Amino acid sequence: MDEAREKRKRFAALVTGELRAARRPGAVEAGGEATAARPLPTPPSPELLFEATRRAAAKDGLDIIPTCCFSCNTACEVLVFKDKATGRVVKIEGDPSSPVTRGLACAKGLAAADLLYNPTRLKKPLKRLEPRRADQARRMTQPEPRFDANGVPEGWKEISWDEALDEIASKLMAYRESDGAKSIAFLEGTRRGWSRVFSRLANAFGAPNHGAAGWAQCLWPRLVDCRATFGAQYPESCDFEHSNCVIVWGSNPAATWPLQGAAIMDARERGARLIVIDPRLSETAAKADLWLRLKPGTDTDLALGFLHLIIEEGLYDRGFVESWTTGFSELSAHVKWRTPEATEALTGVPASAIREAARTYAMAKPACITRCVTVDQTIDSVQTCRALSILMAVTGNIDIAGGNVLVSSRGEISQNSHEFILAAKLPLEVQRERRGYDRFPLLCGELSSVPSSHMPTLWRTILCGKPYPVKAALIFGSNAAVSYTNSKLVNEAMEKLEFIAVCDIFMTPTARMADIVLPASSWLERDNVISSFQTSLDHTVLQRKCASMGESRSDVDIICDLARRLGLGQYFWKNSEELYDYLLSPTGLSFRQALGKRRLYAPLKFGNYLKSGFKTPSGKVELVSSILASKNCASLPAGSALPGSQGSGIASSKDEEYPLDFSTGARSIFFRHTENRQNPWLRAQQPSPLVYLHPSAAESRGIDEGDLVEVSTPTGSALLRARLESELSPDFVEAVPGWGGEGNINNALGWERFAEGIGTVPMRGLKCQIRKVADGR
Amino acid sequence: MADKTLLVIDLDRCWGCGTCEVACALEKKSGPGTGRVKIEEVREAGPAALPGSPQGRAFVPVLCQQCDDPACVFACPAGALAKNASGIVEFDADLCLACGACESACPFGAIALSQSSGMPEKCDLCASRQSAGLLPACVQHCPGKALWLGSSLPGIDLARGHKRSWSFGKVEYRARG
Repeated sequence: MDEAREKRKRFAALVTGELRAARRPGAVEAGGEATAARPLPTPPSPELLFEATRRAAAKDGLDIIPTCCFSCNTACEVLVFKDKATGRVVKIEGDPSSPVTRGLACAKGLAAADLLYNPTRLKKPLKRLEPRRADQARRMTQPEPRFDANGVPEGWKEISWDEALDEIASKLMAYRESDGAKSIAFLEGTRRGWSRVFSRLANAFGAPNHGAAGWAQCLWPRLVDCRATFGAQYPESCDFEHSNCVIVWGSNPAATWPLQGAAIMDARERGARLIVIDPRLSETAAKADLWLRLKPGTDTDLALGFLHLIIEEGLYDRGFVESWTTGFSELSAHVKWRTPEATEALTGVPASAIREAARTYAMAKPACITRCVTVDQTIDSVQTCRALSILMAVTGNIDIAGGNVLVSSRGEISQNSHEFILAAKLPLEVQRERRGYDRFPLLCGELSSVPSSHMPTLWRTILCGKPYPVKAALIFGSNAAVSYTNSKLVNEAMEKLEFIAVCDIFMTPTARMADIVLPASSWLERDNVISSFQTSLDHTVLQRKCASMGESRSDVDIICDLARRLGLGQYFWKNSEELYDYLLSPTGLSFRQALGKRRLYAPLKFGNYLKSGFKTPSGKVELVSSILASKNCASLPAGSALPGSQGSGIASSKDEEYPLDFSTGARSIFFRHTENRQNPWLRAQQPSPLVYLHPSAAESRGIDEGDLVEVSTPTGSALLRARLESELSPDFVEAVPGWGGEGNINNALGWERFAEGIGTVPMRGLKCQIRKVADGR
Repeated sequence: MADKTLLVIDLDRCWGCGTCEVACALEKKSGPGTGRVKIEEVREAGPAALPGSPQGRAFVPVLCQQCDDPACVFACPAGALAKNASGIVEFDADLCLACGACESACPFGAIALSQSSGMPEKCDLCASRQSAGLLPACVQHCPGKALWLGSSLPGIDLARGHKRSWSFGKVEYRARG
């Protein structure tokens, strides 16, 4: 450690030590002193700060363009500063006048100008010069692409948009003609505002094989649960402002959702109790009144244990349960044996902590639970989500101030509907050809947000050509070569594809495998209408194009242009602005008019169900789900069997070889998924992939802090840097995903097991071994 | 001394995300990884309450404390560092010899010589932003709202639940428990 860092660490320890002592000379302590009640100064008003920002910018010769960031799904309102003379974006700041963010912005948004000016940014459509097979060696030996003086990657040539889109369109139509539309995979990445337009293209084209690396592993299980349990998305949003108790279930908003993190800190400051459930003492868990360190992947068991206690002690909301739920007695019988002691045996959480957490949540009403991707990534994903929804329901914490609440739009048309994506355009016999259709109805059929392929099944089909050949892929905004589990197999499958077109902003490992690469715009270069439960409970925010880079175009414009060339123009819009005008049409505003208002507002409403009931078959909250039963899925979350009973703890010969519990749940605020590693401002903050482990697990293997460590499973391995944390369970290892190359933990994630009905690849509760490896550093 | 506090850091709201570090490096255009504030963690084995963390993992933003008796000012052979009227330790590039005495003298690791210019870089609480009526970059953007400009009315804020406070110079650290 360098000297300055040592001094800083000593100082940090001094600060906490002195605050704890609090009576040293120079320290001030509350209570009865005349100085004690002095409040913090009120910060300048948002209007004053915005005005000062405007004046300072004018003095510096800068234009301010208000927009919102899309470095993650939150869409924080930001100000983009452009040099009047050069047109260059010189900085990005949080918008101090935003009622949504109150001026905050995280590192990703502040440093986002790099999306424009990074030398490796794609600016023109590209065509590969030699066959993919000939190029394979170069891609293996050069982990990063090389660019010539004009910014063209080695082995590629620039072509016109007409040439690029015409070639893609003719290839897609030729494959549809020769092998059927099922022979073309429509693949996309994380949600970016244009995702459903891409889904619409897949359906309009007649392609049943459409998917993403997320979906069955991200949000889709939660949304299936919402549909089955409530008929609406009540569980996905929390009214923190009025809550007495917040449970953060398996997520770490401090690193992944700063706006939510700030709201939770506000609630805590107001006196709300904070309970965090996480195998790791995350940044959010560090602030918890109660931290439950569960064994990874046992979330369903813990939630069912909460339910046992709440029912056993009569802490549930009798009125709500009697009037508005079905299946309560069956549920009671179902969790009967799940005492705190039995739950401790399954989850590793002490029975006393289970009692305290369950009682606190049930008695603190109103209380809320925020859940994120962890509950989608267990081995029983939909059922984990269901267990949490049932907790919310029996405690009556649904659709009330301070509870889990329903966020709807401010009148604009949502893209997240089967109607918008033209799901009905795909004939049933074509849908049935979708890979995974028979086995995973919750993902591939009408209950899914976007009826889509089971991706492990589709990749295997691409690899082996059975039951039918899949020959081409159209990939928008997805770094598929890195972001899918079982990475080696996926890369082999991609090599087999005859034709790949990729639309992205950088020359990713996936783009390097393509035949045609299209340059997409970053969020700084596109318009958007954003109403999302991840943004705000009561605002729709608007994104405004701030810059343009080379010939890059917004994904919506590219998709609409491609659709015209595929003869599907009648289903699409002339350009993205026409789409946004259409989406906003019920509000009476055009997109330009809405931009002038900055954002649309409508207050959050409670008690929605009192008017119209719940949109489930019974009209009530279905604790026992008739919808899941109709799909031959468990109607109540089963969880694990009691240890020692029949069917529990299936021992495997691999247990000794791979003795450590393992998850890929850790995240960093500087990156999202596979994004941002190219950004020097963010990369400097976290230069390499990390794996968290306990000092004793490290010591017995000769591993020191910062050492290069191989994490291996029967599927494969990855190299990550050790970060030792004494708060972890000694037999648990947690890796940070999203890195390419040797650090890609997806190399170690296999496809042995999938969640019932939806096909989730589990990323919690896995097993691995670790060892120190030689390090060239 | 309390009424001269310039910056208040609420340890209960700092979750160590590092946005202040990036905001500072971008504001000062000093290059990736060069923010003049750095988050350091304090951990205590096992769940033990620390100021700012009931679970024993606290995050402390470390930056120039604008000390009342600044070691860097005394160490500088050229008089390039000096306290100004508002209590900020200011740096005068014209006088600086780039000798590094300030970096060695600072007991908190809050001054570093720039890799490019060789001159010391330290927090000035965004003097130029403040003179334009703006908040320092770290204060405005802090996702946890853990940083507060405390130019005139510091002290303990019972309304916000602060029970403890400590400062070495013009930067005041606070905690509830």
